[in-house]
Amino acid sequence: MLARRTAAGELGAFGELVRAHEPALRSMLRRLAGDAADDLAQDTFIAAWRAAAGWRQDGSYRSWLYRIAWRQFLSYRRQQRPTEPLEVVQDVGMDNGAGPKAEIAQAMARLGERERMAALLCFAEGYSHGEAADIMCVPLGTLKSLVARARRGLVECLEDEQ
Amino acid sequence: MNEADLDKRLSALLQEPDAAPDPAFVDRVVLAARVDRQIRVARRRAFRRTLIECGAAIAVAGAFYLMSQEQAPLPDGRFSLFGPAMAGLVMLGLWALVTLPTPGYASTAS
Repeated sequence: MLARRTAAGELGAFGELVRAHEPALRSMLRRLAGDAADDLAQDTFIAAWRAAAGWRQDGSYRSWLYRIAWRQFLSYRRQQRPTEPLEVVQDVGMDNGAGPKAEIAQAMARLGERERMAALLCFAEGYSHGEAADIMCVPLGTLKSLVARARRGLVECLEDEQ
Repeated sequence: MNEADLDKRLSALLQEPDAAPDPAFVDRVVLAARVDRQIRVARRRAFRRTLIECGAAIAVAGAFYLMSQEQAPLPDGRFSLFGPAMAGLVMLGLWALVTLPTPGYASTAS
């Protein structure tokens, strides 16, 4: 309903959508892109506002936002120098000391960007492989490989914990 | 630990508590969307105006060209400076001078 009103150009409805989705989107982008998260989140919302009429109502609005955010992130990374490493906030919203959550956050920061996004979507956000593949615009097989690689990377810290 | 248990464990570790919305961020995004809409409206209006003005200028120039064809030709293929076509061109030039933006004016005015 809000998305339909946003597509009709209603700024109030758009504000409600931003209010509903910004905490999750910014949290996800912070773990994906570090310091650039807020700028990317704003760019994502503005891109969603421009393309509001193009939203297919067969999926959730959040998945659609995540797809836009992933494209914004890839475009942002293309603009960076390839040698420049991405500084990812390792632990946001969790205590910065030791503990499994801090260790898993560090393990996440060591993953490649695609593996990290796949892990965020499938493990943290609870998307199915099909939905995550759709969000990342990759074939299902590729997504499964990314998730498997992410799992391998993350499992080491769980093994250390045990 | 099998794969399903491992995934459940990873999900539990990676999930974050629901954060409260940030009103400042929401306001900033809504303001950016409002500005974006105003820019798009202004751009669309300017594009339409340019199209109309280009069309009008082509029509006026065509009309004066046709008028110049109606004039009796001067010997040696010279122009008459006092014919209606030349008057039309002067008017067109004055219109362009008054209507079209002067380069650099906007930047120095602000």
